[in-house]
Amino acid sequence: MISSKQDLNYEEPVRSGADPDLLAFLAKASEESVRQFTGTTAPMYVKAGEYRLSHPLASK
Amino acid sequence: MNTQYANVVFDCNVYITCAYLTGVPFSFTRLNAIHPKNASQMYRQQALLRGFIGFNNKLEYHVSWSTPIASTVRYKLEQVFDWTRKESNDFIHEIFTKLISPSGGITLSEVAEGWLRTTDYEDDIVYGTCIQLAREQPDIPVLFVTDDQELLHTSTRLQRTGSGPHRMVYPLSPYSFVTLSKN
Repeated sequence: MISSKQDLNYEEPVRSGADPDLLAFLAKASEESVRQFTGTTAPMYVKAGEYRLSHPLASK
Repeated sequence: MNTQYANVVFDCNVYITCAYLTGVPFSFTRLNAIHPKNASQMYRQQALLRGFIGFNNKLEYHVSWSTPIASTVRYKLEQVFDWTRKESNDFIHEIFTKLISPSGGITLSEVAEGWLRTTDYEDDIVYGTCIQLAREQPDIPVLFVTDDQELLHTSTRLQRTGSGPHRMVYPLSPYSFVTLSKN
């Protein structure tokens, strides 16, 4: 029986005392952030220092 | 809900955009007086100002960064916008004394690299700063504010499916951070 976490290349979770409701709220906000970019292909920031107007909310 | 705490790490481009918007000299008063027409710039501006305010009724922010982030920002200001060394140093000093320090945030002198498995140095050190904070203060979630699309996707995937400190790093676009802060 494989029971060792090391066998699964497992990293111990952070033992956080943070409020689970808060963490769930933040996770949902993260998901929403990704959804905002759906349909866009250009990164917001171009490494060469050129800034583009590409935010999906820009037309609103 | 009682007031809780979160560490906030801004991506380099948030600092760079805000410096670009005010020009020299940078100050939060000047930043607050600007009304960018570009939505992307506006959300970065609003995000940094929200970090400057430091709290809402649920969350109190500690804005932290690292020496590699500060060095990258300074390098970009000098190379892209032709700021002098003194001007860029003044910007870094202003951020530290008016934002980082008053918020109770910290400046990490070194960050672990390689957590993203990317060849992009800038992405690596910014995310590494978040990871380092999550390791040092595991009870405090890290809000990672970036609008780099690829970085946002990668770090959100790691938040959902990764292990260890990845789980405590919550990527947010500047827009989401501003919206979150108003709730």
